Amino acid sequence: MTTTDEETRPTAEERSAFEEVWARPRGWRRVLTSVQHKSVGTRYMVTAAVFFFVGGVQALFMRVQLAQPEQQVLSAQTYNELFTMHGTTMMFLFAVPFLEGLAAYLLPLMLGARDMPFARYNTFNYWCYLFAGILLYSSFLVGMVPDAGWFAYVPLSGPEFADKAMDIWLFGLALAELAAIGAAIEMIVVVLGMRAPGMSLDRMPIFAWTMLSVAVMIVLAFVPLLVGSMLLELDRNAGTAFFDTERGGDPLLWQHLFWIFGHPEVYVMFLPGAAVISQVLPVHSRHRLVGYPFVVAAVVVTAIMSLGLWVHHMYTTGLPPVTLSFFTAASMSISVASGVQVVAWIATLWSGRPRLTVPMLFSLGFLFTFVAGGITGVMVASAPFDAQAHDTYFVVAHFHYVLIGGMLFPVLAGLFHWWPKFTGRIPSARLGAVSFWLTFGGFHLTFFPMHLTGLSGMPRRVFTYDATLGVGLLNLLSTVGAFVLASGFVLAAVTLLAALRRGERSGPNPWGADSLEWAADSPPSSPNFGRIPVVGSRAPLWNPPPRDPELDRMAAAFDHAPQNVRATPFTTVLDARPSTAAVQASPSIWPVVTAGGLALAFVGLLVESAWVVGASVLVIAAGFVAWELQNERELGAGEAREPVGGRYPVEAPGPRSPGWWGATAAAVVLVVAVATVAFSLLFLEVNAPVWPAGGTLGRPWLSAGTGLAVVLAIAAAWWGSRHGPLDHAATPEARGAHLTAAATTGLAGTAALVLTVAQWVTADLDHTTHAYDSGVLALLGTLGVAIVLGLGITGSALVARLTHARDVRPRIMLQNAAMLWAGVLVVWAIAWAATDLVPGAVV
Amino acid sequence: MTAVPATRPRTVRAAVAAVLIPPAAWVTALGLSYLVQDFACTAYTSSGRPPPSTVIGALVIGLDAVLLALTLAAGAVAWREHRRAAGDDSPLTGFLGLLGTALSLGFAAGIVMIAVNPLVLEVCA
Ligand code: HEM
Ligand SMILES: [Cu+2]
Repeated sequence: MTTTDEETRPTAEERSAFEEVWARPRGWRRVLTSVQHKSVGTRYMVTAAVFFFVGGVQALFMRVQLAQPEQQVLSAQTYNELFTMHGTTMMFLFAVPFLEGLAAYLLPLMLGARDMPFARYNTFNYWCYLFAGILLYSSFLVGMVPDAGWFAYVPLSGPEFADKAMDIWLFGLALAELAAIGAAIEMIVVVLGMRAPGMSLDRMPIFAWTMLSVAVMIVLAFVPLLVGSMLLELDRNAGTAFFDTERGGDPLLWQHLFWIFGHPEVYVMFLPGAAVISQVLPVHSRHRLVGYPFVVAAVVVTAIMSLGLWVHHMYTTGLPPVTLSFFTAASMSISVASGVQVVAWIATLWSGRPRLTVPMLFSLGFLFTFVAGGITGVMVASAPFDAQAHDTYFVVAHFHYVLIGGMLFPVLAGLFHWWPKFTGRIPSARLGAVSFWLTFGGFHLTFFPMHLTGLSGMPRRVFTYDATLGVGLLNLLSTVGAFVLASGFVLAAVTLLAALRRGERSGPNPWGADSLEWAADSPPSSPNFGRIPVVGSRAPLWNPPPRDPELDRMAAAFDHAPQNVRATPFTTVLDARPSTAAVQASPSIWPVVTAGGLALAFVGLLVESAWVVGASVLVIAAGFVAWELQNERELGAGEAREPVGGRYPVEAPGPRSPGWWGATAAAVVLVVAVATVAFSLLFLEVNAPVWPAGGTLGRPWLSAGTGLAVVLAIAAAWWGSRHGPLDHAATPEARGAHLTAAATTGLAGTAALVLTVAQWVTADLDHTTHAYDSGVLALLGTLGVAIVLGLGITGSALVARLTHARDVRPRIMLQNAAMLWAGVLVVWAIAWAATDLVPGAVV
Repeated sequence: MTAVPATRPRTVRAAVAAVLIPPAAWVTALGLSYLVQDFACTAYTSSGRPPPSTVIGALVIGLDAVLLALTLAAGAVAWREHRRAAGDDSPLTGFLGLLGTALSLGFAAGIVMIAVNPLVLEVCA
């Protein structure tokens, strides 16, 4: 398991060429062009930590206001703004992005890869997130702070009641969600395809299993929120009627769309937290995790079942009881799955020889708090109890137990655990322990009394309360606790930062840990591993490496290699056998440019300036074109030589290269999006008292034509992808076929776009009169966006054909295009079913 | 430990299917039960007709029963692969088999909890 193997083949020149190709940019370039997963992950975590402290200060202001009954420190309006921004900040700008950053940093290291699969896209997502945060906080500058709560219920957030503050909120949210969806695609591909040779699924760290599950949840749950926020934005600024009861809409639709996201969101935070514990606890107990397969099963069960939980947030909105009990059942099942994990952790502690290190302290604090929070959770999950405690401080107490206990304590455990890896220095154990006791004590002092204030009937989201309610003392305790808690966080931050300068040097593996990240240097070098480790067990650093010539051959081929392009091994999904070489992106300015363009577009919409919007479209388009050109140029450098080590081709068709996975994931995202719109329309249709009788889009020929054009696009791209040799050495012969295929696909796609627009223009519909008409517009709009993406990837295939000498890359790109166009076809089918088929058939 | 690809692709594929089916079946059970029951009841109520509760209830239970059978079958296959893998010394298949068995049990319980609802509660209240 050595990473710096002196007697292996690479010569000194080869080593320095390798280091050259992986060199980090310097100076201003470092800020704007770094794409390496460690710098992106660090940025995510640092930015998220800043937002955490901002959200924490907001919480302190609220606690000061609530310390005594009938205080006037803050006005009711300011209080509303503060809890809205606190909730929004903590959920969207701190918790999820922090975990994405942790995953971006750790996953490649844990899996034995050199970077994330699409490093530039990874960076693009980070910039989107940063701009989302800046956009949300610019509301303070312009004095229009959102105040509708972190779930922004309609009609409070609709056109009549909310001003521009809501638009800021919605656009900020959209950018942050876009980033999260992108991060999810990255995580899926890195876990499935870029594991070290030999790391079959049964040897994968729990953290990787969890991030895979979480990524699937993000795709299935965040897309609906993105769609929902776009629909609300349309209602607010384009006069559509999705949430307007007068015109066939329904405010409940927003609640559905929000909680389809909102409940899984809680598990998107808790599961990675639990995964951190599953990594940290065994190391500090010096014992492997007990019951690994059952922990994996529990993670999968929790992830999937959480998708079905949304309605339990709506217990008091008058849904039919059977509907509700479906979801109560799911809540209970999740509790059992969480119980399995708790048992596994306790058994690990029991069978090991635990050390009371700082990470261990935070892990124990997590266990205690989580079990306590779980108990109140079961109470909240039972429908009758919830009806009573709903919207009281009992709920506030419960979710802070889950969020802080389930996510924040594990994050602190993880930070103290991986800090030596991140920085090469060990933080002070004494200060760390003090910060643990401050946070732990402060936390319970803050939030335990809130259960009691809630049971005494204090409602949430009120800026003050009556002295006669008799909860003054409890609230005072909470406020004191909040300050103790805050001091604990500050001390933890100081401890970590101080270690940067004064901490003891750690070496690669100070804890004697078992997973691959500890085989890299501390801090890891830019390519993480000069020689890629091979894996023969679940704890590769505790067991001798496997004797397997096939694996060793791959490790040798990638030993400080290749040196003309950044690349890492790509292995098979199930058993991680050697497959191909995945090219990894080098520094680039274009991610920040395109993300900036996107943010600019939102700003333009906010200030209602066509000029700004127009300029932003130019920036985005130019940015993507330049980005694609740079990609192809680099790949050209990679394919100019033979396969890595003479065996592993630089990209190959189908699931043997990352691009195919990316295209497939993008297709899935599109399908989820259109399914959400279709669900919304169906929901409105069955719930509306009046619905246009027999209302259908009624443009069958145009619809069919659109579908046909998409089929043609798929066929042409697929046909092109079958031409030309795959071999690196073969002479190219399919240039003409590829050009024909790309051109035909492009023309067919353009025709599909024109026909889609024609459907709307010729149909006798007006999106401002009725929700059905609005829904048709949204469905056709989604189809249009899907087609534009299809055209984009087709354009990339064309660029690939024009820039490459060999045939393999254009072949792959055409195949990816066919994949994405297949997704577009499904989008078309669902849209057609929702606009014409179902309205014609139902009632 | 050498020549691991000896794990026969057929068995691995069966084990993978056994891992994927239970979650998919559960999601389908929840989604369809909710859609059928909620949308059907609401559609009838909004159009002012009395909903056919027994039919809807029976439909939901029937659907769930089919999905439950599927989940349990996946579990049986998974368990078989798990047992067989122990003999063959193929840890991956063994793991997938065990995972599939655990998932099948978990999601089967989930489907049962979904299916009993229309039995004990009024379907279109
Ligand atoms: C650092 C310590 C924290 C304190 C003292 C604190 C305190 C509070 C207080 C006083 C409220 C307002 C309750 C009300 O009036 O209804 C609140 C709401 C909330 N908090 Fe925290 N909180 C903390 C950390 C967190 C964290 C880490 C998260 C999430 C990861 C979080 C998520 C929320 C959410 C989602 C709300 C609801 C906002 C809304 O009603 O729209 N909080 N918190
Ligand atoms: Cu929930």
